[in-house]
Amino acid sequence: MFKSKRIALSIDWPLTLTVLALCTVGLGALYSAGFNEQLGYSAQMKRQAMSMGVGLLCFLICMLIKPEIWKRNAYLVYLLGCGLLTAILFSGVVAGGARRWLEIGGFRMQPSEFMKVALIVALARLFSSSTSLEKGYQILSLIKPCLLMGVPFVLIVVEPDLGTGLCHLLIGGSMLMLAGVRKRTVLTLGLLGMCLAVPAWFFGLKDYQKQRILTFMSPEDDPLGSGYHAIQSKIAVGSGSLTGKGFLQGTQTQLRFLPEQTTDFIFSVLAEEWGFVGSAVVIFLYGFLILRLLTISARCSEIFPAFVVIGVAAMIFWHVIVNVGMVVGVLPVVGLTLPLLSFGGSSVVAVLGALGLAAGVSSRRFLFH
Amino acid sequence: MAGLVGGDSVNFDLGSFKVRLKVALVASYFIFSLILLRLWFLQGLNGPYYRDKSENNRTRLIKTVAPRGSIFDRDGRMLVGSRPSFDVALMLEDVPDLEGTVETLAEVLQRPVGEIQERVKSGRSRPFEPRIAASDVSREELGRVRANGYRLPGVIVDVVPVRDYPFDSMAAHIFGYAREISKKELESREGYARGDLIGKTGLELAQETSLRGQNGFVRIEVDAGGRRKKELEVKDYLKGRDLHLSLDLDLQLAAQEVLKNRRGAVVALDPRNGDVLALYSGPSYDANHFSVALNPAVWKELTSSPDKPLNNRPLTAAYPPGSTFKLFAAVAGLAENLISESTVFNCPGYYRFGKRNYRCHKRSGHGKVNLRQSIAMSCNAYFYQLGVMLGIDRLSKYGEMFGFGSLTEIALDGEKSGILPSRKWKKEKVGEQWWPGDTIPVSIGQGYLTVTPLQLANAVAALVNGGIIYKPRLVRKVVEHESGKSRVYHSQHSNLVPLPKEILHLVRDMGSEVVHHERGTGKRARVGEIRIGGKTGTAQVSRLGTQENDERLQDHAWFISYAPVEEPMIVVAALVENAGSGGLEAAPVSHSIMSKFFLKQGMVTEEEIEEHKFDPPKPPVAATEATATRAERTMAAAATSDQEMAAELPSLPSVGIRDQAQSRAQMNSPEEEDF
Repeated sequence: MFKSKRIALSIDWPLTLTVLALCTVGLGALYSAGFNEQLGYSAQMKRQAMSMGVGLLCFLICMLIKPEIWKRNAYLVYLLGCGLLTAILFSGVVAGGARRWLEIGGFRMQPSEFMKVALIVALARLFSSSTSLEKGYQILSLIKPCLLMGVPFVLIVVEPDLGTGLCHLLIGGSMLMLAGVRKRTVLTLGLLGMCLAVPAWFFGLKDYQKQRILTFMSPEDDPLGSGYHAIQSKIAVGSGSLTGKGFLQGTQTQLRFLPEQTTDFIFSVLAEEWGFVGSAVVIFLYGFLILRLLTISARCSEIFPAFVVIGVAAMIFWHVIVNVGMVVGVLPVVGLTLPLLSFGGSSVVAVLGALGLAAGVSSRRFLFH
Repeated sequence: MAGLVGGDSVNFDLGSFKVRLKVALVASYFIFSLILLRLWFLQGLNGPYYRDKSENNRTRLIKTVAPRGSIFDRDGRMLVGSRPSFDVALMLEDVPDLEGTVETLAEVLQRPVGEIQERVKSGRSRPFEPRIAASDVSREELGRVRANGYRLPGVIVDVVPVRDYPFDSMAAHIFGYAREISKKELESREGYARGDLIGKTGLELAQETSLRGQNGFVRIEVDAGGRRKKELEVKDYLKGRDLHLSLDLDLQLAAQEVLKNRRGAVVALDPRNGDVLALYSGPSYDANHFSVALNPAVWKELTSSPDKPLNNRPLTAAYPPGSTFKLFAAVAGLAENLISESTVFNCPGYYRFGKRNYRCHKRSGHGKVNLRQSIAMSCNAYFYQLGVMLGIDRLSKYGEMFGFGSLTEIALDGEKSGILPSRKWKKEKVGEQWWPGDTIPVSIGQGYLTVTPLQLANAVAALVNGGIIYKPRLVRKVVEHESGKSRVYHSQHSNLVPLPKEILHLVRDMGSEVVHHERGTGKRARVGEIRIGGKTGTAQVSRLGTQENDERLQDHAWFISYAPVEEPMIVVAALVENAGSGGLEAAPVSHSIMSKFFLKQGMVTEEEIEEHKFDPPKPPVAATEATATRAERTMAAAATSDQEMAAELPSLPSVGIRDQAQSRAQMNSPEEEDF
């Protein structure tokens, strides 16, 4: 009890306040995106608020659980995640042509969102006991971490959800790079990757995935079809201009020109109604969050917590870049959420839980064990 | 501090880890700044551009077309109005699958796919402007489009006002038509936009500025599905100004009824102010063809028909006036003191000038006739002699006084001035000097002389009103629709005939002989006991003795009239192309118009008209009306009365041909009444 009290007192306020700020911005954007003249707030908004309540509870719990306990049970968490992903294959809920959800007690959850946290914990656990960290990873020593990343990747890609699958690789890859990979190995793998990209394009990608990439290159070719999202999103963001059209005044948003404006395209709502000023503020909040997480990691005295925090930072970073990059039209349309802003219970709870982990690490930096 | 402590005491190089962390931080910040740069590019630099795009996304500007002003007759009866036309159009931006939609639309409208495709493709290409797929669809078709709306995304129904002509072909030439403005006109005309209508002919052209309304618009907000959300801005249209004409619907209908499908022209003027009471050109066409996009087949038929139905004959076609010109020759002779009322010339049936015989239509001759008799019986020999005495210079001078050879300046397009020959004119146009023999046909309204029916009517009006040449007035009043403010066009006279009224009144009185004298040539124009003055004319088209059976080379029948003689209220000029004798074919046209006019005035009753109608026994029906040759008509005329026949020598440009014609005339001379 005594310790918990001290932890509570030494809570990482910069991190926590940034997280709360992003949650608030997210709820505001969602309110506008689902605004209805008769009801005001939408059902989605209400659900998102509840998810955030659950998420903040998760944040607190994850913060209070000792990192040692996480470390000890890391592989268990990982196996649980993989188990849920496997369960999807048998009893997942199909929506929009993909089997990504599990229904448990009336609640629908997306295991792939939680899998990211499980992967982070598992990789950190692996690094903490790996001799490769002394000399840097080589091709052979990469087998173990690659297996850790590969299993969920495959399970997620078959759902199919290429975006989330790749996200796992990005997170894992980032953690590996920070753990240290030999230069020669990086070069060799880079070349190999390029050689594999060509057959992957022809045999590995589904038609709609190829279409997304092609469309991204020239959206104007098919303005009402697959290029629609890219064009309308750019119009929404651009028309926000410097100071935006004002809260609830976004015409692209209010007239529903973007079909997925509450989830993948929530940033466009924000950018349209609050302009460059508003979008820059959000980018800065995320930037500060990354800075804070990397700072926490740098102050760690142990490998496991340091890499858990790095993993969380990588997860936030890639989600933000891929999502915002898509909204502003520099990356193809990939269904990745914007952490804490996009509508989606699993994503919110998983992200808040992960940040809780990082906050827990931060609170204990002066503690001895 | 050697390194971080791993669970299994892994030795970790803290220094290089921290370097990697820093690199990671810098790299992520670099990527963040790229995102910010992109945002700045979209929102800062191109903000206004995307703001425009989002406005286009959500708003649609829908033009509301203003109806053009209506047109009324002198009694306020509507001649031209507007009705709604329902156009089915495509909003391309809201059509997900153009080909499929066109196919569905073709199926719903039960029209060929190609037709609709053609129209959609030929439409304008501006974004967010509906493209018309089918115009003026029926209510039934409209109902089918509405019922199938769910499978016709992006298909809208536009309502535009189009012209409605309740009396379809009654005065198509006067009204003319308005069409979509051409690219060329768009460059030169201010205040017009693409797709606007602009008057091209007739009153639509002449009164464009009055008839044209001001279009309005509705700016609506639509959602992503193109569904109308709310109206943002509305500007009502302003209907064009109404025209109140001098035209009398009853007289115009009477003209149409009596002329039927024959080629010809009817002009009725009020000699007291120049009002145009009737102006009919036959054959006419249904003006409703021009309300909406013209059917190419109809257009081809109208333009290729040998009857040239699009020609506005009263003012765009010039004909030799024939004997109607004798009235003006008489005025000239009296004014120049060459003859008096009692001057007598002998008519042996021809007039010999030089080596030639110029024939009168009556072979046996009229004998000794004075001016009054010569007008009544239309004696050519009398006027040949008068013409020789006058000479071309004086004939030309008097012709000019009455407005021959110049425009009446009626406010309609395409008016021709006809030809008033003179020495100067011949030198310039024919390149030859004026021969004395050229004067002789001119004195009886043949030769080089040509006039338009309107011109002739206007000259007669000046003759009978004491010498005032009015500018024919078609539009009396222009009324603004909303405010009721009106602008009145007062009658204008363009010239005065500088002659003593006594002379004009004398000739005017002589004209009554034509209708009322027992040997008058225009007895068929009688209307009750109204005293009517008039003059028949039979204008030659072909050389004598040629192409007897070619209907298009038959003589034109003329009749001009005015009534009551002492104080004329109406002047009528009637022309029937290739109909033969003026007294037989054109005088009844005048009768119809005058009857209608004086019935309306209450100056005559139906019974009186019937009682005094000149109704000679019908000629033997040897051939049907359509195949009757001129010779047959001539015999019919000879059987009933001394009808004026065209025996005047035709206009011939050179001596050689004239000689040839003369010999032909002499060759033909034994056959009585061949001409």
